[in-house]
Amino acid sequence: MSQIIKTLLLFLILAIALPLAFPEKFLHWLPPYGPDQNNLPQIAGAKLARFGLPYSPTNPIPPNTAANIDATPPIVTQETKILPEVAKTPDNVPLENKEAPQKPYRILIIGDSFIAVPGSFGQILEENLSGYDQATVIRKGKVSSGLSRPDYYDWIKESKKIAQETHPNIVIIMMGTNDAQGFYIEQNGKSSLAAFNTDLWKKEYLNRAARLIEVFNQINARVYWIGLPEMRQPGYNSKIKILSEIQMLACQDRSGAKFIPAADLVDNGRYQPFVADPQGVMRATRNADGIHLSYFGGTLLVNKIIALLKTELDLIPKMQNPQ
Amino acid sequence: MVFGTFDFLIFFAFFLFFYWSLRPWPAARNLFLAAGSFYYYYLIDPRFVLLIVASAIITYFAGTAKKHLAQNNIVKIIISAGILANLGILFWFKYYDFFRVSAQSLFASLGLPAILPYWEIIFPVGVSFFTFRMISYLADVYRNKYHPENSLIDFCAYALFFPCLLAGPIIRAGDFLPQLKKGASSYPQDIYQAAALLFLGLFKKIIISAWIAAAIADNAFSLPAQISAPNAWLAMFSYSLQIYCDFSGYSDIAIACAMFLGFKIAPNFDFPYHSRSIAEFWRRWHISFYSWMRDYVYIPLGGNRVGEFKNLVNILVVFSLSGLWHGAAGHFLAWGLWHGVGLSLQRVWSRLNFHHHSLSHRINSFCNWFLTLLFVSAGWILFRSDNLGQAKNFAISLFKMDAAIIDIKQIFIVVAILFFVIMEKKLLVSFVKAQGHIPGTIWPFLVAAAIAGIYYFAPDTVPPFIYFSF
Repeated sequence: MSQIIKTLLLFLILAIALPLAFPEKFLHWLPPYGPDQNNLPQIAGAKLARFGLPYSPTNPIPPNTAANIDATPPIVTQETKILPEVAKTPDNVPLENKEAPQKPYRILIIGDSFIAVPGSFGQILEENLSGYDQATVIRKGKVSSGLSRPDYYDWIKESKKIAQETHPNIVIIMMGTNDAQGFYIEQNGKSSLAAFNTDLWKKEYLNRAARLIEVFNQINARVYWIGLPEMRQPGYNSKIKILSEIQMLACQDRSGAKFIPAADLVDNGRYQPFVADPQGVMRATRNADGIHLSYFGGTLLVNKIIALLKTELDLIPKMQNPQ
Repeated sequence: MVFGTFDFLIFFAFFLFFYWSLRPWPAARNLFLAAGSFYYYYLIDPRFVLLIVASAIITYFAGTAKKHLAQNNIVKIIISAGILANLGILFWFKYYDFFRVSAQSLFASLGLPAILPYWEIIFPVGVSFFTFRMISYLADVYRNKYHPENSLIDFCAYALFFPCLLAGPIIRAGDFLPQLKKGASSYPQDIYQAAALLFLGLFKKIIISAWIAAAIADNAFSLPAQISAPNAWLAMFSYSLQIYCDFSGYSDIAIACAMFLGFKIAPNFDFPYHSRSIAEFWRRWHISFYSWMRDYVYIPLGGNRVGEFKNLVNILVVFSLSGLWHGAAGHFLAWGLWHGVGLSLQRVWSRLNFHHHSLSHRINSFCNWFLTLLFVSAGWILFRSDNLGQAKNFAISLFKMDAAIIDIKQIFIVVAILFFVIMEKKLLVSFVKAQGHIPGTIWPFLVAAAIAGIYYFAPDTVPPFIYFSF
């Protein structure tokens, strides 16, 4: 057999067999700037992966390309069995008033790439909060995740496990960059597509956010949900605003949850790629994708969030504590 | 659409089919190679595909000046303009903001008003590697090391060659274009070697690098002040292995893909953790980049043919620049200087002609190996940290006197990875030899099964290649 035939056969096998055999791993790497909607190899791979799972994930949405995701509806077969649970909790029932968490603080930070990636906002927050007395910080992030795609990563299910393992009394959540997309839900034994921003979609997303909060409220942990900052691309930004509004709604009337609008803190209500540092030098607040925060932008937001947390929590820097 | 993702494998399978179908028509095949590379970069980042094409065309026409113009001064001006255009792209996209912030911080400290404008500049992936490739072409043409390329299509096939486009190796025109011209790519190059490199590259990236990042390095470097001394040492050595497996894994896959397309690309890594001195390490690490720095910076500065002091200054200049090439940040500059100073000290030390006569050769050799590994690993702290403050905190943690819990299992795995890295050369040879015994009809299936084994153990999410950010 000639070298050319062998080479072609090898890559033909790899190109067909791997997406079929490991559809859950399909394209889960983080590309530098992500796929384009016209990415023919990716579309072909997604179609192949469809045969590998009863509920095939579409391309996982890299966090830095979240702007591109909503155009592609998820691929779902009719025989789907692994559907997200829907509307099993009542909408936004106010919880009993809860007292402020007591020391020692066990702070859990969860979320998508804003939390997971090294050098991210989550890492800066973890680093800063760890500098306070009697504060143990645990960070659990998952890139490309969110509340829209429990088939990829089910935050509600996983949070129950994380809560049991870590016993937090404070939980900080930041997610949503991958959530501006439709999803399938099961109602009355039938699966139907809830397109993004429809009433059905909003109701279900609100329920998911509420259920996530409830997982932690049930173990008497106070939840701080950080909204997303403004995004560079206007179309994507308007979607992110919708998500943030729903997340805020999920926190409303719950004494165990509080929403912190990052957009107001870091952007003053409009996308600000540069902010002056204490010296007056304008510094970039965003990474190249126009979505994620730079180290400077992350530090800026973290400082403001910690200042807010201090109004409710007894945060004393380790070195200042006489003990 | 990066190496190892399924969409890349699909793209590459289709590409190979059409590429080899065009074998009887080399010109059409070269056009297809250029067009395919263009499409590849378009899928990676459509915003900048025209930028790199424009840069390639400018470089091509600047090079042709050497052929068409008789006056050397004009040729010099045109080629210099071509080099400046490429350096300008690099400066604008990579360094402008660093330069602006540094300059304005200086102005502010002097009480002067800030005057430099600021823009949101997006860095095009691979541009550092691409511009170095273009500059090497123009410099080689000017110095008569390579004749200006006649065919724009062939030049674009070289400039945009997709296996090496995003993170190297930085291929030279003199190595690549003759292969394209002479029809050396009528068949894939040594497919057993290529398959072994593909397998090892994927294994190093998907399994080892991803595991170290998730289990050890990312956690340790995110909280450098909080980690205990044993964990800091473990993280330091782990990151040394991670960055090697990540970048050499990328280079192995790039070289393997080039070989499947019929091109022979020189190795980018020569088992650098076998090194017994800092100088040897830099002959084995990221070879295409450091040979570039040697040929186009160090030697023009005078290289070794100058006085001792000037030579040491040259070393510091080269390593400072190579640090800054990785990123416009103080910690990268410090990393470059760390190696520059280390190499200079080593040079001075070796000139003192001091030998450990009391030590046996083996012990001496082991000590040199270990000290080199220690020095290089300590340097990676500067490289990996987000800033100098973080690096300082990490360094302090290395010498903390505290009782600490350390995961013994992790130590065993890291030692096993180190053993793998040390034995990699032999493993590569064994993999190549073993394939020779496999019947041709079974070979593609066995190799595919071996690669599938990597994906079976792979995590769902693999972090991006470290060198994509440079």
